[in-house]
Amino acid sequence: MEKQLRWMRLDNAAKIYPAARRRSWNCLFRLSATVIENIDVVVMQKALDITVKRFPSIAVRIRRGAFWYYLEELSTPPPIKSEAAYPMARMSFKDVRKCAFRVVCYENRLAVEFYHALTDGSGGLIFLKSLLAEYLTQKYNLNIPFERGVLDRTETPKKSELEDSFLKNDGPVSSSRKEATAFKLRGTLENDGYLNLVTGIINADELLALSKQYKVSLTEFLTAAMIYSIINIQNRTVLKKKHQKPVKILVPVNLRKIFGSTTLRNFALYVTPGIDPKLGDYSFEEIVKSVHHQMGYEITAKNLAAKIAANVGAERSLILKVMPLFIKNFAMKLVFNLFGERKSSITISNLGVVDIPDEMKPYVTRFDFILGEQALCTDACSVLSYNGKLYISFLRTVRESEVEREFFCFLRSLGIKIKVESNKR
Amino acid sequence: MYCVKCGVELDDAEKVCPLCGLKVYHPDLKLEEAKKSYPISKVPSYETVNKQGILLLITAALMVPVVICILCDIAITGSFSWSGYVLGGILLFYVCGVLPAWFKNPNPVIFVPAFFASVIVFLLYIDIATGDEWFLSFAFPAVGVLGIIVTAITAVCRYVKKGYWFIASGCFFAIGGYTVLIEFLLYITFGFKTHIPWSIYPLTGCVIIGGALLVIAISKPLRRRVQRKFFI
Ligand SMILES: [Zn+2]
Repeated sequence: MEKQLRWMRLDNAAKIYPAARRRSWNCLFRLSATVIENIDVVVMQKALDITVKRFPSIAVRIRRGAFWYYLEELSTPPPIKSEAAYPMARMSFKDVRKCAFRVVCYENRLAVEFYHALTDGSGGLIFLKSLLAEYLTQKYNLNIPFERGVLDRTETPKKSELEDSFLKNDGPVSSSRKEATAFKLRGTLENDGYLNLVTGIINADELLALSKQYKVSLTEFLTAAMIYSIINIQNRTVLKKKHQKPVKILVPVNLRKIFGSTTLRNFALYVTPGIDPKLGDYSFEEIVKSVHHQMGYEITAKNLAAKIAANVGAERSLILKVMPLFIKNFAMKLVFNLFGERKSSITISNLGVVDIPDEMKPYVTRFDFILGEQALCTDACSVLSYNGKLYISFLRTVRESEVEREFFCFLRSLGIKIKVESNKR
Repeated sequence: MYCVKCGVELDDAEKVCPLCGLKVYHPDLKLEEAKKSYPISKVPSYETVNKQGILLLITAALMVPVVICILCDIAITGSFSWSGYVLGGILLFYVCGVLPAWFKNPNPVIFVPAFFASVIVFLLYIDIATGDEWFLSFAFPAVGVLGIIVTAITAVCRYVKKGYWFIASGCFFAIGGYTVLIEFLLYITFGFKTHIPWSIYPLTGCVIIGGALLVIAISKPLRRRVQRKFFI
């Protein structure tokens, strides 16, 4: 008898991704680890075959129901792919319906690209660490403890890891989703869909010390630096102050710590700190201060619970539930196009410090986090730090590297040393 | 190596600065060789909808009924008669719906008169085919004048960025005048006549609205007041 394949609903945050997809756009993100030696693909495939069983919410494909999309467990683990000229090569919806993530090996780098409907950065990182631990165990006969995000691959999946934590943590009232439209960056689209990647590598302690000077967190500091850079760009392109739009940054917030969840599925929301240049010329110090207070106010359990309630409420309404999928898709796409990404100028996703068991450390030289192209933004910025180094990646769909240049040159002017690498043709 | 413009250190694989595009060069230092972090050779293909392909498909799909009709027509009546209307109708649809899509930025100031011209040609064909005598005295001036009015409005809206009150007022005057023309043409072609000319009603209405808009367009304080009362 054929084994019954496990299936589950999409979590609350995931629902938008299949609905708002475009022909050439599916929201992906990539996590990669660089090891000391070239990767043995045969061993990696074996490690993957074992690891996928532990992650039934990630080793899935997307399927279409009459009213909703759902996730279905894969019957066989996917084969390992080879690297292309740029990360996040497009995953068409046809591919997503076969397998919604891919494992890519190139020389000494292991990368996993996730369809965002499966999980968020924190969930994906646990998958990557566990896969890497399984590979290193098999390849070098290591004894790696199950700690710091490395899971036991032989264990049965826990129920708490598969839950939709949004449904458990909604507040009593829902907050309004009204927001002002933000300034949008423009550029010349690459006509063959090439994605340009620029990564800046910074000494993490140096930047941390600088943000301490301003008495803010690293994320707040980077957000403020980005706002400052984009205001400069807007000053060059929109000369009249009265025509300028607010510069806002979309900053995803990991909700697991705030609500005490251990789910491996999406459990993040975002805040959009910003500055309205119409109010006058801001100094960098003023921006840092404002961002610090805006984020401090927004990122509280009560405020976030009210945001969750707004998202969950829509999902719970009976009328929306019984609407056929294609109508639902149309409505969600419309709302997404009208309101979704227009509310921010760029996304900065900071995954924080990546920590792995000490046994693995000698073998792993580097981690990278790259957020896939956004539907309406030219750039996406993602940050992660490992082993004292901070990796800031910009992935862009356009030719002009304006934001990266402005941003890195601004950090340079503050005395930060930066090393830059890219996949420039 | 460092970029002399941005002051950032560059990976050895970078031959130009990825931020500013400046060539990495030092007269005394040899450039280090290093491997890129991604294989440059393998650019993934990425699906796009071929606009021209779709247009060709539409063109071919439109050809099918035309050919079928012409064949049936010849088989049944032995001559080219009613299928001419089908051919004309589909051609008309093609000119106004599909033809502009072939161009990257179709200019309405060209395609609007083209559409009216093709309507006139189609009507001329019907007139000759049926042997009636209404083309020269009615259809041609009626469609022609409407074409001129619509073309003028599109051209003004496209090239003149100011004076929308004047344009709106002009539209109403033109519509009012057009109804008078239609009544006159109906009279000389078909002999329609009423006790009081009916076009007086739309004409009066249009002249009143057009005049009001003109006054608003001329008087700045009035325009300000209207904007204050009716802002959205
Ligand atoms: Zn440079």
